[in-house]
Amino acid sequence: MKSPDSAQTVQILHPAHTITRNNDYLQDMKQSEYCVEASSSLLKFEFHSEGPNGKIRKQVLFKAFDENPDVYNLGFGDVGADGLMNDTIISNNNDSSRILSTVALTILKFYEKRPDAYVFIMGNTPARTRLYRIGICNNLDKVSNDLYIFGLAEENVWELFKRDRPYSAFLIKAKNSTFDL
Amino acid sequence: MRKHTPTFSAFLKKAANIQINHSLDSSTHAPFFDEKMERGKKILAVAGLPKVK
Repeated sequence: MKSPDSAQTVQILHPAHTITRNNDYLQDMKQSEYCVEASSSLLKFEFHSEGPNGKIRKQVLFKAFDENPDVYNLGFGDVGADGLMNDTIISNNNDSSRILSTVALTILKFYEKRPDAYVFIMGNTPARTRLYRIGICNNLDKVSNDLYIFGLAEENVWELFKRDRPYSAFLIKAKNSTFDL
Repeated sequence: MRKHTPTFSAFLKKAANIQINHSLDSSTHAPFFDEKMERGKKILAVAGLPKVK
């Protein structure tokens, strides 16, 4: 069980680190999305994360399920020197909110060609899925008027996303069938 | 035409400005994706799809 004094203890032991992390986070929130490029099918996107660990090549992939061709699984990860994408790497580049915002941008672009599709999102670990949930929470007000966002609740039932609920996966669907500007 | 919130419209415009790079048109080998597809397939088989209006 977490001690009620644990947060205070961390601050006492690492005050400078705590301040730096907060500043990084605030700076991160102010920045806009990364510059993204897309394949002509709008099923593959690439951008570069920039931060204390350098420039890291990121890729977002959408792949349809054979059994549900209107549902696309979203894959996201780093591209290694071997050209292979890996979704297990934790790059710690202090830009997670900027990255999530950029991935959200790729979903909107994806919808240009497939306005009736569902996008299925699930992290490869519970921690990664929690990070996605935080990203959705932070942007919910911005998108809830135009997108349905569903969370997979414990009973394996989809429900409209609520901020205070844990979910193991997410589904996104556009409310309108055309994304006219 | 649907009226979007200003913030969403701005976000849509950014998405519209994403450029196509044909060098990304080659197929991508992502071994982890096979497992990811399998997990997603099982979830969708049980949970189905939510109903939307």
